[in-house]
Formats: sequence, C-alpha cells, structure tokens
Amino acid sequence: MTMQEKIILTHLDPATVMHPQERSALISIIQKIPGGESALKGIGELYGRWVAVDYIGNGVVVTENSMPELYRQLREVCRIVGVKNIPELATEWAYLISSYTVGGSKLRIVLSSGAIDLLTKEEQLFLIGQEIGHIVAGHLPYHMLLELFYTPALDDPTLSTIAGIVKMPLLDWYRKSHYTADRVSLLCCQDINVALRTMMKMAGLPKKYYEQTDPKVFLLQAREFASLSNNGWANNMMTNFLLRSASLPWMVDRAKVLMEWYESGEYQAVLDRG
Amino acid sequence: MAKKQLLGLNPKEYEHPFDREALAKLKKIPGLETVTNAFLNWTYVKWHIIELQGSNFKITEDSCPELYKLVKEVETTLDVADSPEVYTQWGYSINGSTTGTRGNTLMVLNSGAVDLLSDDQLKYVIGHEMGHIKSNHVLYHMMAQFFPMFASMVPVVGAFVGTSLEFVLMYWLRMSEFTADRAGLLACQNKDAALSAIVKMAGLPLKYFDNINEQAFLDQAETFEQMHKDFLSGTMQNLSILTSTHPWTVYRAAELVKWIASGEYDRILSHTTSNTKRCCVCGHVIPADADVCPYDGCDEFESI
Repeated sequence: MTMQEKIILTHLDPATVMHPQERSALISIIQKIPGGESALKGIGELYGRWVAVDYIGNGVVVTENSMPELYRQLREVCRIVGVKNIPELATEWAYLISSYTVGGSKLRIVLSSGAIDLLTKEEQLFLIGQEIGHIVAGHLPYHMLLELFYTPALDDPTLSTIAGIVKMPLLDWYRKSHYTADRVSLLCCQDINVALRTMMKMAGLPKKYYEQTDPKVFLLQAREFASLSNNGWANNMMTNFLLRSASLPWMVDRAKVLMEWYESGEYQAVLDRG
Repeated sequence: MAKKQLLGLNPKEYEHPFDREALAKLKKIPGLETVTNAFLNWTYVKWHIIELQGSNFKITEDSCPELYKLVKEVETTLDVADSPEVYTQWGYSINGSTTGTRGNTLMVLNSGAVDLLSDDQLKYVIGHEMGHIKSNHVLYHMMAQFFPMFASMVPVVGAFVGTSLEFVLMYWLRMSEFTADRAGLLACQNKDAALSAIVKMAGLPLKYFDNINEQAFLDQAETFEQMHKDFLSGTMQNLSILTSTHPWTVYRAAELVKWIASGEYDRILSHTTSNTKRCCVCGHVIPADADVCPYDGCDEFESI
C-alpha cells in the first residue's frame, strides 16, 4: 500500500497549535525560577549535551544505508512540518512502543524496536511526529531539565526539597506538553484513526487484536473516563491528583484531548492554511 | 472445546489446605474485612479504576469481543459471581493480576499473556485470577501489601512487627497461588494447557513454543526439591523466597500434578447437579446418596 500524499505545512507556526493548558503550565514554571526562561533553557541545554554523550554510545543509528525506509519516514515528517535541521534517529531494543528525544543543540530521537515491529508505516509517522512535535514546540530544554531532577546528584535532602518545588509544576507541564506534541503528530500522519490506533496500541491492546479493533472503541473508553472523573468531588479530586503526579501522560486522556481539538475544526483549519 | 460448567462450584473444595486455614484465621479477626473493604473502596479502588480507565485498554463486548467472550466463558465455567472489570496493559511477560474489593474487582492482563498463550492456556491464567476472586483472596492480597506498611509506621517495634507480619502474609500469599492454580486448571479443564502455560511463564523462548516438554519441567521440579535436602541450598531457597509473591514456578507445576494425582480434580469435574449435594457446614460437594459428609461428619445438606 502506498502512503497517502501528505499536505506540506509550509506556514505552520508551532505557537498556534500549542495547547492552552500547556501554555499556562509553562508560564507558572518560568515564574518560579529566578532568572526566568533564559536561565532555565540554559540549564536544560547544558544537561542535554551531557546526557547525549551517554545515549550516543548506545543504540543503532538510522541512516540512508542502515535503515533506508525508516530514514525516509523521518525526512518525510521533517518535510511536512518544515524542520530544516534533521535530528539524528536511532533505535534501541525494547519490545514496547515508545520514543524519546535527548540532546542540547544536537538532538537525537530514539525509537524502541517495538515501535518499528508493532506499528504500521503510517503509525510510525505519528510516533516520529510526536518527537518532532516536542522539538518544534521547543520542549526539549525543559524535558532535559526534568530529567536532571532524577539524577542521583539531587539526592541531597536540602537540594531535593528545593527541587521538589520546581519539579511538581514541571511534571504537570511535561504531561501537558504531550497534548501539543500530539497535535503536531496528527498533522504529520494526517489521519485521526491512525493517531487513535497508535495510542490504543500504546495503552496495551494485545497484538492479536490489532486487525479487528476499531479505534472508535478507544474513544468510547475516553468518554467513559471523562464522565468517571467528573462524577463527584472525590473522583474529580483523585483524577486531578493522579494526573498531576503521574510521570507519564495517560493515553486515554491524551486521546480524549486530541479528539477535542480534531472535532473543534482547528485541525482542519491548520491543514487548509497549508 | 466447550468446558464443563461447574455450577455451584465451592472454592472450599479445591482450596489448598494451608491457604484455607490461614485465611480462616484472618477472617476471624472481627471487623478486619469490613474495615479494610471500606477503606480500600474509598482509596485504592477509586485510584486504580481511574488509572486503568485513563491509561490502559478496557475489555468490553464492543472493544474486544473475542477476549471478552473468553473471560465470560471462564466466569461461567467456575461460576464466579463477582465479575471483574478487565483491562490489558502492554507488557511481554505472561502475567495477570487482580486487585480491588468485593464487588469491585479489577483484573489486568499483560498483552503478552493474550498474545503468547493458546485459548486454553489463557483460560488457565484467567481462571487462576478468577480463583483468587472466588476464594476472596483479593482483599487479603491487598492487605499483604498495605499492612506491613502501616505497621512499620509504629515507632520502635513497628519495623520488627511489620517485617514479621510481612513474612507471614507473604507465606500465605504464596500458598494462595496453589489454590488459584487449581481454579485455573478447573477453568481450562486441560492438564497440558495448564502445565505448558506454567512452562511458558517460567521463561521458555518463543522459538520452542511448539515443542513443549512438560515432563522435563516436572523433572526440573524434582531436582529442585532434592537440592532442598542439602542444608545450605535449603536455607538459600527459604531465604530467597521470603518476600516473593508467588511460589517457585517449578513447585507450582509439581503441586498441580500432585493434586491431579490425588483424584480431587476428576472428582470435581464429575459433579453433576443430579448426583451431588453440598454440605452446609464445610461446603464440600458430595454424592447425593451419602448419609453424612465424609469431611466433617455433618448431616445437613443443600441441593445444588
């Protein structure tokens, strides 16, 4: 099956697709840090360079020669959203669908081998789009800063108390930064069903049922989840608390938020602007 | 193959003796069950439902009819009254777990269990989880998790009490797995499927899935048991299992085979509603023409 021709988004401004919740969460972090945004970015950038060294020693780098097909996917995603400076892409062994990006000025996207083995070509565009989304939205220095909070160096009680004050809002923002990245992902694969299917697989759908499961059922679950969390103050409080303290964003929640954007007509408007 | 429906199946019939005794003792503590149930209902259950709903894949008649049907079949076979909500999570080890409270049970299956097992083997794993539900283990499993934590908050003696309590509870927990394994076998009604599922869990590579030698695994259990006779190895075995939630995989296989050999498994399968009745005191299902219950000598019965 040949891939459907994608619309190239020459006028895409990441600021216009940023999720409003992400924006307000970001502002609250910057206000908490002395020196504000530039200091924050500086720390993130430095730490990014440092961890990159560690990561570059591992994994298999995707090039035109090593994995031509995957390399073409990366270029395709960069072309759609207009990223000129193509980041490095690598794979590492793990039988699950996941991806992350590390680095400072030079970035590397890492995909788990499960992402290649379990996703279709279109779904891979969505996943790579996710990481490119974080890059174009300028999330990387903040992601690196968050990773810094998990290093043993911050194990000291005094330091970790101070760190905790910054870490909580940073985690809150981290989760919301995925709402924005999901939007960019959708703009890359340009098919809501592909997006939902990828998310459904990541949530834990067994491989056996990949062919026969309609992504719409995942949306039904998302609606049920929304009504569950709105059912009384105890549930509402618990949901908020859990979502806020979760280190990883929740798939069903993400699907729900992405669908809201899709249905609002904003998605189509961005595609139409081209 | 359709499984024989074990209508009115009472868990007391197949519960591992140690599991039954230990649980009976715990159940005698007044208020423990009610308080724990209520406490967990308001905290853990709410928390876990939200988390599962928000991040994992829920199995319903619409979302995944095939797996849903399989779960329902096991429920019918074992006559489970308290049907759990079922979710899958991504993970390639063969595993399932059940948590929650009475009336609010939550089962999570790893995607690996669904993908790597045959239908009968999967019925064994789901039946194992249903066995925990039927014997009301779930609440006590949760206690095993939470109690030592609370106990260790008490100054001075807390750590000691917490740790000893943990070892006792963990010991019972491991014994409860034997009960659950028996329920799993009663669910799949296929000895080979049950044993091969255990072999797969123990770590057989995918490449050799078509060629499973269950006997070799039972031999391994035998060798392992022999090792226990050596003082040092025996002590090591005792120490290394102290905090595990499950018994050694080889023991689970061996214990299941022993139970089959005892004739209990066939006896339960041969029940029909017309030729059996149930003892009102101990719950055993016995032949309809027996005058007294062979288990406790009581003479009050109810029909099934």
